[in-house]
Amino acid sequence: MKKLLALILSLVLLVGSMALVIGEESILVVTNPEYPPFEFIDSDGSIVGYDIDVMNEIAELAGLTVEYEAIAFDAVIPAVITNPTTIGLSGISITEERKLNVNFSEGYIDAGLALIVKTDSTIKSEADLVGKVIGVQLGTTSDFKAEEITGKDNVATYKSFIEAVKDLQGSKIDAVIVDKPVGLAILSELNDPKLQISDMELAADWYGIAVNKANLDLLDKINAALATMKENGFFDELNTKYFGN
Amino acid sequence: MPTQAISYFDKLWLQIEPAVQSNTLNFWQTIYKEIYSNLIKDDRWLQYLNGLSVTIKVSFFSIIFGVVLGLILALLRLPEVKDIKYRKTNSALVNFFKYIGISILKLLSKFAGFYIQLYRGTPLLLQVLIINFGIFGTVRVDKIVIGVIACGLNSAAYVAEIIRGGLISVPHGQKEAGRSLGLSAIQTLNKIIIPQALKSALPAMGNEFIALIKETSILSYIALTELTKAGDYIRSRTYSAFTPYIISGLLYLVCTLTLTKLISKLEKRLSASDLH
Repeated sequence: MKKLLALILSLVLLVGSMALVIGEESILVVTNPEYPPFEFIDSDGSIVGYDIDVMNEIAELAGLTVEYEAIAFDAVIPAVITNPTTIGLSGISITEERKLNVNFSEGYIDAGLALIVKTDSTIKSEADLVGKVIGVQLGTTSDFKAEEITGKDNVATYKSFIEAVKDLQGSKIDAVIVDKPVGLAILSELNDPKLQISDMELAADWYGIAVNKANLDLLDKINAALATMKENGFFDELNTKYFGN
Repeated sequence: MPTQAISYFDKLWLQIEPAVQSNTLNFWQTIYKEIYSNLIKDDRWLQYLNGLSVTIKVSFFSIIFGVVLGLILALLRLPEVKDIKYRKTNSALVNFFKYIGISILKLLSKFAGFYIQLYRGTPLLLQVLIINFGIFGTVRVDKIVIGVIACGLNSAAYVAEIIRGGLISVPHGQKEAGRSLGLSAIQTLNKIIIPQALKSALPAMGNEFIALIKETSILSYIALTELTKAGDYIRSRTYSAFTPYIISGLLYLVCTLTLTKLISKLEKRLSASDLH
């Protein structure tokens, strides 16, 4: 009798744990939450922002369970490459080089780059940047752009662009290049009259969601959801919420 | 011939590129893709070497800075300094200067103790960030200088304790012998105590130097392009998961193994006098 009870109990446990493992399709979303307003940590410690709102909507439309994990930006794409059920969502601009390593969803917002300098700076336009030390976040399109303008040795690469802005405030570097919405958000946060921001001349810079090359099924689901969201006015609402226009 | 070698690598790469595009690489092709994109393409191996030279520079000067400051701190912490007594002489002027001198020395000794506690008790990363964004917050200084200052100040605290251990390990009789031979207190310290103390502290010092070389990797946080940052940089271009870190790691190993060899050689030479 005791043996039978033990057998039944272990069977129940086994089935129960299997149900947990099989469960729903859970997707890990890796992001670098130091990039307001796209992803940042709010006062109660959870990851929020524009991208997160987009992902939550996609998850709802496509019936996915998502979990968010905070990592460094330069680790986002490697994390997607190494795990088929990991998604990279961190204001990632779609570039040809990155496409060699991951698949991208359709672009969901056109960010564009901006230049932050001190108000008393001699830098007035992109041409003045040659030979100047430019601070950027490592591995971003700003990083690639800065390297193109001023050469690798003059680019100071930081784990987070906020540190670059701090070094700019301390005059250790001459300028910071960053995605425009992010630059605007941080400047309004810092409220430092000695800093100014201006647009950079650059073609479209679309953000996409990075998906492992092996997981085409997931990519299709995300793209289908994005198409629906673009049609039903979700993005208009979201842009009003975050950018007011 | 490097140019010929590179064109050979490029040819191999072109052969497997279609497979890269379609994500159908086999095991060996994957390994070649990693090596090619992280080491050969765009002369990326140069980035590692540049990073290595910065790491070596920072480590070298930090070690020197750390040893000099550490020795001073250790001497200040000696019981002879800590418990120094003020003895009156006949001249009021001498008394005055003696008193002032001893007070300053005692204060410095207290400060040394506090310094060591502070620097051993807080993470190096925080120290580096505070020195970069705080102390040198508005000054434009070469990042290598900031790195040397931050790592040197940190290392000094550890070196001070290591040297203090060495000083304690010299038998008291050595000091008495020196003094009874007619050497002054300073001469005894300089010619008898410190050489023996450094000798017995050497293995622990070697450990500290090796730790310091590795800890300079923290300087990547303040945008100093040392060896770890070089790996980071390559990874941000190639999106490899960890290959650049393996390459950086091997170069760190080369540094630390070389240093280990040098120190054990030095230990051997110094221990020649131990043979009776």
